[in-house]
Amino acid sequence: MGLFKITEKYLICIVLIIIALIQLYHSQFDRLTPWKGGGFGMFSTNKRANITAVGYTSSGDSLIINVIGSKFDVPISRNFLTSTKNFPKKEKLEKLGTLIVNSYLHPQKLEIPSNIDRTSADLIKKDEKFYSTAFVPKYYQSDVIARSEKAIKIDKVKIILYETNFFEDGLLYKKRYVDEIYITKKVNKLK
Amino acid sequence: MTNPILSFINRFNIAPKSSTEDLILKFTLILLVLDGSTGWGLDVFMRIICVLMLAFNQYTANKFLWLLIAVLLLFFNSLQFYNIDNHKILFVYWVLLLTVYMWTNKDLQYIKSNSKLLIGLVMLFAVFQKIINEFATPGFLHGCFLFDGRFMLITHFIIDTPYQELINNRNSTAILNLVPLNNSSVTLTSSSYMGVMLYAFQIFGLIFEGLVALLFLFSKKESTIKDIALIIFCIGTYFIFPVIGFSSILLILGIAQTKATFRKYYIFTFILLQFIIVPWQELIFYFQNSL
Repeated sequence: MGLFKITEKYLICIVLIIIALIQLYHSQFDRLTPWKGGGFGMFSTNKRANITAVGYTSSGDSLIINVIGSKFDVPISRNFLTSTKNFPKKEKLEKLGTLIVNSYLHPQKLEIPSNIDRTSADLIKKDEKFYSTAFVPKYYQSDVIARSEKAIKIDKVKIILYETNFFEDGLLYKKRYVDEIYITKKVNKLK
Repeated sequence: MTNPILSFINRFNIAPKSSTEDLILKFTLILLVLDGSTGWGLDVFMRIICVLMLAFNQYTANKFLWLLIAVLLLFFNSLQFYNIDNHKILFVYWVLLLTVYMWTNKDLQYIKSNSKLLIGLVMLFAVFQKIINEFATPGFLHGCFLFDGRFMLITHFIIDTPYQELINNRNSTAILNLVPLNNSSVTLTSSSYMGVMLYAFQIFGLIFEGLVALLFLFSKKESTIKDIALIIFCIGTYFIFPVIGFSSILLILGIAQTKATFRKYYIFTFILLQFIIVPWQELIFYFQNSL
């Protein structure tokens, strides 16, 4: 059978192979998760992208931000956040940062688990105030309601990309630094 | 007066060339209605088009409607390419294959040889990805069974760890995800017995998946060993990993490529695997704790 005949007969299978090879390239040499993108790498790894954010207020305080997506009262759509976690490209992380920096942030109590590693526990103890609260991006109908719920705004956000994984040795769920970007709120000069 | 849209669609009506073709098309339409959606936009179209094609036999093999389904699947799935599961992408390949088959008047052999190859390639890439992503080392399944909500109850049944401890595992991983500390970690609660057992299952699954891939890529079309292997794989895998869409598309591809005498076993397995959706973990947990 000639090359043309084979291509004609197995065109769809060839498309599958090409897309799977592209996915393999992106998952091995870029940041795409093996679970998605047509490479059939589902249930192959526990490695996941973990997006953590730290906000900075105008008074210089820093705070932990809980990056969540929702259909309802959170200005980050679940689809966008999932797609960003699955393939955390720089443009998507920048867009995520812009959404956070323009949003109100609602404080929620953060309880550090007792099974966290000793080094991290010591670091957390030194800065208890910072680690006692996580701020959730939230929609508010008016500034008055936002202020009544102690929601705040920030000037700058640092989006930090980690990779989490599970290790059988010691039954550890651990995170490793990958990259970070800063997004600063754009000032409207017309105001 | 005939409706102009209907008369346009009617021009593309063709009769299925055989009962096999009719069966393959109908099973695919059923799959698309049950699990073809990747969002409401596609879901609305799929429900309307596929249900009407199932209800009225003259439209089951309508070339225009199959092309429309292929275009809609391509469009909507492309929008969510990095969000959708791989089996949704496999749906697209399969529908494209059927569409090409109908528009180019190919014989049924085209579907048979391509569906056999599709199964082989999917399994091959799944095995290859597992190997390069360190699946062969201990920990993957153990991790899944400790912090993935879909499997935590199985862990609870096997090692009798209090459910609260498993919830704590999950909560502590969720909190760790918020903390901006490099190399931070939480220690999860489990047993070494669970780790060893799941690692054995992990390796067995990998070898068996590889075997299915090789059988579908290299065995003869008439071989029933490959069919038996695929059915065992589907039953053994998808009752634990409840991805009903993946099992359904694999079985439909199985129906399409197997010989007529073996088809009934695929159909029986297709019916059997619908019981995946029974929340048996929750039911066992409920009865254990309510008695």
